Amino acid sequence: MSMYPIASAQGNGSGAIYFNNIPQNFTHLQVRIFGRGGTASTGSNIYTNWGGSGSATTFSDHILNGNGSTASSSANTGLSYIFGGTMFPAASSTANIMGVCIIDILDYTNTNKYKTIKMLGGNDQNGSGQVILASGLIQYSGAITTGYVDTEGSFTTSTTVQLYGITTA
Amino acid sequence: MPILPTVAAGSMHGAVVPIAYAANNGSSQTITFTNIPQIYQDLLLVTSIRSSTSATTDSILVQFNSTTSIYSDTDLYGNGSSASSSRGSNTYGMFAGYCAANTATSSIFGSHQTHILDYANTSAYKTTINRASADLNGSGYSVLTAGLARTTSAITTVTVFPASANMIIGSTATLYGVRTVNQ
Repeated sequence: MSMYPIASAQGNGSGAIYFNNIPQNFTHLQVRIFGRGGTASTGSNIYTNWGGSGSATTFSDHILNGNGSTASSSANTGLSYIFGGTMFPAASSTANIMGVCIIDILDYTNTNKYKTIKMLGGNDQNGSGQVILASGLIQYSGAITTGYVDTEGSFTTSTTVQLYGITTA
Repeated sequence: MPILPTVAAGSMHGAVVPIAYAANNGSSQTITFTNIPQIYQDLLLVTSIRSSTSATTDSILVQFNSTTSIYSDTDLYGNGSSASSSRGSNTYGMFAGYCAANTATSSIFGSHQTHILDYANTSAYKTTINRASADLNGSGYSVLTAGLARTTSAITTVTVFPASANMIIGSTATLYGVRTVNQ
């Protein structure tokens, strides 16, 4: 199994980060985000959507969360994106603190099954923060060719996002 | 530990490039990787560690640039019967989970990964995601943590160690670089 870089992007403070025309020659995808949200808060959520041309998809998720004092779990259905919880600090957080989110999208070219993704991430703000393991279901059996990641207030310009393809042989 | 001299980011590798590997001889507490190349996007630290402390488990700590007390962590645990969460602040090293220790069944080691994103960034503090598992056949932990190192310095040295005692022989650590586009 080997991993190869496909694309690199930076937050722009004004919208989601899109990946289009994703090559179909890998088995899995991985997205690695080092990010911070622009909203006036100390936390910012991850929203992500993956699909293909003409896809009419619905999304759902399950989240396992630790906030430093309590472990909890939640779930959502019928969304137009996958919600992964508060992975990132935001504009009211201490300067220089960033969050991390690593998304794995398995068998993204398979045209016979829905896609299940795994999200791993969080942020620590020296006294607050969250760590999260989440799963997301994309009810779309076509090959995934496009996707985006987003957060409240958009990702700051200090945010970096990398897209990788993973081979199995 | 020295960096492997022949390793460089190149087309012969995928995005994950081995930088260095070390096996502990049982007579020291730490494994340290120095002079880390600044040519990758991220680092990935993978360990298999058993501590010699007289307990069933020991904490795994990670330090950057040999600096202490700049770390904090938010943690999520599963112990086989319940899930819980805790936090550490201003710690000596960054808590990355648990490994097996001396009173656990022999031959059991802990498994751990630390993702260090944008390690060469000199404008941001360093945030890591850490996963560790130490199943002891009837007890043990799975741990997921978000770690913070309050430094804007590029990471040139990574040290990993059990908190309470030397590693046991057979403990290993591998450091990988993760390339992005045009690296």
